[in-house]
Amino acid sequence: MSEVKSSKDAILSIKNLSVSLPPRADRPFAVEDVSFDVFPGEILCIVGESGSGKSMSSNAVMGLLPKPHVHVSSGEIIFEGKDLVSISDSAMQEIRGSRIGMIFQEPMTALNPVMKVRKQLQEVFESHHLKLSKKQVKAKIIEMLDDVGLPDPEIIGESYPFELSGGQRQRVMIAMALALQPKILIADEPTTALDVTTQAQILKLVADLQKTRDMGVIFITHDFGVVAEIADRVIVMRMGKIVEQGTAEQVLNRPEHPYTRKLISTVPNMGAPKREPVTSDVVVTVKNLFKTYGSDKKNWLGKAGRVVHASKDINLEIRKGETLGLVGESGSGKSTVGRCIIRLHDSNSGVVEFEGKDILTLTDAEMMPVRQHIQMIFQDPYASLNPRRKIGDIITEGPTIHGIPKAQSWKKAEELLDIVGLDKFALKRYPHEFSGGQRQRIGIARALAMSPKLLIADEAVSALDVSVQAQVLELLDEIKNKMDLAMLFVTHDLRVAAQVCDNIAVMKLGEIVEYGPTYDVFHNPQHEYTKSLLAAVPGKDWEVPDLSGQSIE
Amino acid sequence: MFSFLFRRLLVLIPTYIGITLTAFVFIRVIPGDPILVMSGERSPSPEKYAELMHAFGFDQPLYVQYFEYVKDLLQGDFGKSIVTGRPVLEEFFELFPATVELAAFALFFALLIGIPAGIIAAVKRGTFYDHTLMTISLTGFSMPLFWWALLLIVFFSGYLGWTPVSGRISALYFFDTPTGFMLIDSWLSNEEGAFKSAVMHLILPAVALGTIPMATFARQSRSAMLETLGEDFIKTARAKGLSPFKVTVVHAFRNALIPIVTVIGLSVGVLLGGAILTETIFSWPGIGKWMVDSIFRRDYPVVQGGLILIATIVIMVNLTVDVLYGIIDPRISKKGH
Amino acid sequence: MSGEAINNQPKQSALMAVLASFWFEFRQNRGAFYGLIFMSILLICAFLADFISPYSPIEQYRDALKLPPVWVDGGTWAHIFGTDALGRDMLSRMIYGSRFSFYIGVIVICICLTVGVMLGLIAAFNKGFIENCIMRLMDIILAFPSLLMALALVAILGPSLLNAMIAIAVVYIPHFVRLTRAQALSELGKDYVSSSKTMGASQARLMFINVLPNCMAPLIVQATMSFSSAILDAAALGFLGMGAQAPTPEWGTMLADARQYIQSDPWMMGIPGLAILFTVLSINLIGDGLRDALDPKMKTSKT
Repeated sequence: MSEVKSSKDAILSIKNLSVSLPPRADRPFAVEDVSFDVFPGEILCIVGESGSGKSMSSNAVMGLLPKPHVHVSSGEIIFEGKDLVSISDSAMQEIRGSRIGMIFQEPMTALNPVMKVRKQLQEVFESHHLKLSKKQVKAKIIEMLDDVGLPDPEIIGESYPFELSGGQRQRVMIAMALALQPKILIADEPTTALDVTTQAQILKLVADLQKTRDMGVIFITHDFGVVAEIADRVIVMRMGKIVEQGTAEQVLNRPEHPYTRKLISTVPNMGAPKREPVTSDVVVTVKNLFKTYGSDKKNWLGKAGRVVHASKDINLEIRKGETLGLVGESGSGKSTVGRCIIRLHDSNSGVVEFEGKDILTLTDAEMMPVRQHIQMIFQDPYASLNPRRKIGDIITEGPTIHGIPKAQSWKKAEELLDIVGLDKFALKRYPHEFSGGQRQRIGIARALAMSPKLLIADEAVSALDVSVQAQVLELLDEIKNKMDLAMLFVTHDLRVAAQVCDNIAVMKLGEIVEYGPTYDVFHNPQHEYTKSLLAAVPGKDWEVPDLSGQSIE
Repeated sequence: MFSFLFRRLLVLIPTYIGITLTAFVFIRVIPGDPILVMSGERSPSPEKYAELMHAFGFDQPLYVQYFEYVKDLLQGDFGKSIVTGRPVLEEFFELFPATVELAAFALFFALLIGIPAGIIAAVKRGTFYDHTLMTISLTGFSMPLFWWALLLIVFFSGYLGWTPVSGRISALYFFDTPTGFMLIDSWLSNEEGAFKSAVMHLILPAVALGTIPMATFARQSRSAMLETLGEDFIKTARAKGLSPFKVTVVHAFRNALIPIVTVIGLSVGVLLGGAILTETIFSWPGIGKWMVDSIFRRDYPVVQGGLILIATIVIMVNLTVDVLYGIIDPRISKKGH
Repeated sequence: MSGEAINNQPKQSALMAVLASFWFEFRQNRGAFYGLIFMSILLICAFLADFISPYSPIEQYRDALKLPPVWVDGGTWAHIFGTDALGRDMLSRMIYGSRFSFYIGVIVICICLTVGVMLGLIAAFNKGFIENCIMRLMDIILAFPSLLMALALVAILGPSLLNAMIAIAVVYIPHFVRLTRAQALSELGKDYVSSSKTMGASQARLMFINVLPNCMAPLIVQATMSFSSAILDAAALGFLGMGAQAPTPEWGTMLADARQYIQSDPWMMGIPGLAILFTVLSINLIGDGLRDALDPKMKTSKT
């Protein structure tokens, strides 16, 4: 990939493209003066944080900008010798789906929920006026579904999207986008919503198809691990502008722009450091915890209900100052365990000993004093703060419930905001005035207001951009050490877990399949499932370069 | 699908018991002696009074009365009208076709205009068409039905003289009414001009009754369409290279149908309620006018039976809507498996 | 600075900011703005009816029966909107009638909001038997067409404006219960509620401090729309003779009185009808404006 290419060979050339935003937006351009080429047979990754304009540029190529508010204000998009900015709508319609294909982030919503898969694929052929008989179309559809690695293409074709898993739906999307052998595939964060093992499969599928068909692929992502996994060339975007472009090897290992360096330096390294075992007092012990949803009791029709084991015979313990990582894919029951410990969910059986006392058998009144010591930080920084209450009221709610005078708890809230790095004036504001990272800090302050001994962080950094994520992780670590907290860190992200956890428990379908010191789990996994999870982490072979000493923004 | 329907039917049982209970309690909570109230000015002789007491079962304990009442209902006995002495069910079935005819045409008119108007407004959102259509539909939505009906009469019957003022057909025609539906019967009668007369009699009340549902449909289809047009799969459909027409109709409208069908189902209750006013104003001999007249005449057995029968219709329509959901949205019907 | 001082001073500025952004959204909608102006004028009429109406609404001027309005031949400035069949001044009756519209709307909405919101919250917080009882009861009320149910209730209670309002309120309550319950359930699934639970918040605190304020936006819109429907239904009951009774100058009752003169003196029914239409239209315009300003979902689908 190192030979010099000229624009002449490019299948798609974007020249000085600017996309303007409506007058009330936070900046005048979504994309500003952007130029790049896409060559056949390469995967071009566009990386950036949310709001960097990375998706807008690809939507502009497809003519899918939300007109008339957002439109191309200047520049050219040259494809097959024509400028896509100035061609007619019907000519653009002809190109879409036949010579440029596109797949999207959310496989759950990107397919029409009330139409069979086969019908949706069939539309691609019908809309491009191909002279194909019904039989040929049918054969083609089966072939396409087979190509993207779906088992039983006939059955899949007759299914509705809701009957398929997320990974299967994304495969259907890929089949649809590639049906007419396009020259370019645009993939807009196609694996972000997927579990790590599914993500690995989809990435491999895209890379394989790209090779066999010699397509150009524009792959948009926020994840440097994904970039390391598949990119030939990389473009880094920020606030609508390109800050750096080059080959994957250059950008990943020898980034030049300070912003790129900052982004890369925040990527958690896969190599878990060896840590001293924690030997302090045990704060919480979970023994034989069971939690099922639904009931297997027969109803009066004699039909047995379906039972889902969200957690099955869970045993753990967390010591003072220890961070225990609970990792697993969606549906593994990792969040349920956290919520059972804090008694947001009722467990079916088992024991949760907090400082030597079983708290599952306590009445609500007996539970009250314990509640102060177990607190939780939630995933979604938007849904976890009451939008109608001021930050001060949110942080002091817990102390107020526990009878601490308002003036006193208010004073403490000021101190806590200082600890989490926010100005005390935040107390008088409403949640919508803060960014995601700031909200998560507020959530941490709220938990600390209760003088907790055990902190449960439920995917606490998953919804944040990578640079913000690093800051919040650092804050959590600092607080844990300062206050000597026990922490249960629930996450799906193995990179993050490797960085912050002392011990790790790997969950699969409600059961803990492997439990041990982080270093051992990462470097010498015992269970097959742990091995497959680790193997699926994108860019696992990429050693994140040490950029300390270089100028970082 | 079957188990889905079955579950819906099960939920109906307590609802239905509640409905019979409501109608049962209705006649018994009227202040004063129900027999005397029903008899009005002509105070009944002591023998007649005792006979009526017994006929209504008022001399028995309440739970026995209710039990007897439900037993009668299950056998199709809805009681007898005090005024005409005829069984309530018989009167109902005689008048019901007239209301169905009126409501069906009102609904047809409302769907025919309301839904396309809503779709056009959504697709041309923010334009002159959108504003005009939505202003008209909001005005229709705000219209006092009885006043609107009178306005139509003043203009089309009074000023222009195009349509008759009341009734279902001109008094000139006499023919058998085997189906009870005047349009069909007049068509079958072979009488010159009868069909035309029936149509002319139907137009005004149907338009009056259909106006508010029409406005509701236009508003609802617009917001449902706007919602689906913003969904991800619309972007997918466009990315496939589908024409704007196909994107709108095949993808957006098909998904917008779910909320639209809900509103259509709800509008049947609105139509039956509106029929009370429309039928009164146009002297249309249907169940709406029948109910109002009975309430005024204090013909309580008719009111009681009528309430149950009309509630039954509403419930049947709701059930149909649920089945339609299953057809439109495979996620609902297939979830059971 | 003490805690209280911090607490009080910014409350205003934050509230002002919220109100300002709300007013901005609301002003975007011209229809809502005009609706608000019309309703303000009507509100002034209702409040100052005793001072601005030229005559008593029930006094009969026997020498001026069925006088047409001033802009029709034969009308006089003495009776701007003319007089009705009993010689009562139409303008005065219209002005006093506006009182009843507000009266009906406010009473019905108050009953609906208190009863409907309470039942809805109770249903949302007590899954199982209690929830089922409440929701089935609402199903039963909804199984009867609203006007028919209201008519039947008035038949039991006896025809009067107050009974008409009670009947209308009963018929509307299920909508409020369903809306509150659905909204509360969706809020209950959010993590800010979970957070309060982990603090040990009581059910009352969860209901009224955390969940209810977040359910208000759609409830306000629903209340506005019900306000206008209540006026329409009360007028319909009045028209059928089951609402306000003569000589009350209620618009629906006035329409019923004018019905026999629709061919000879059409203005007698035109004026109250137009008044009802404009009032209801204005409230609905305000309701639409509120929906756009309060409902973030509608907001995003608009831009």
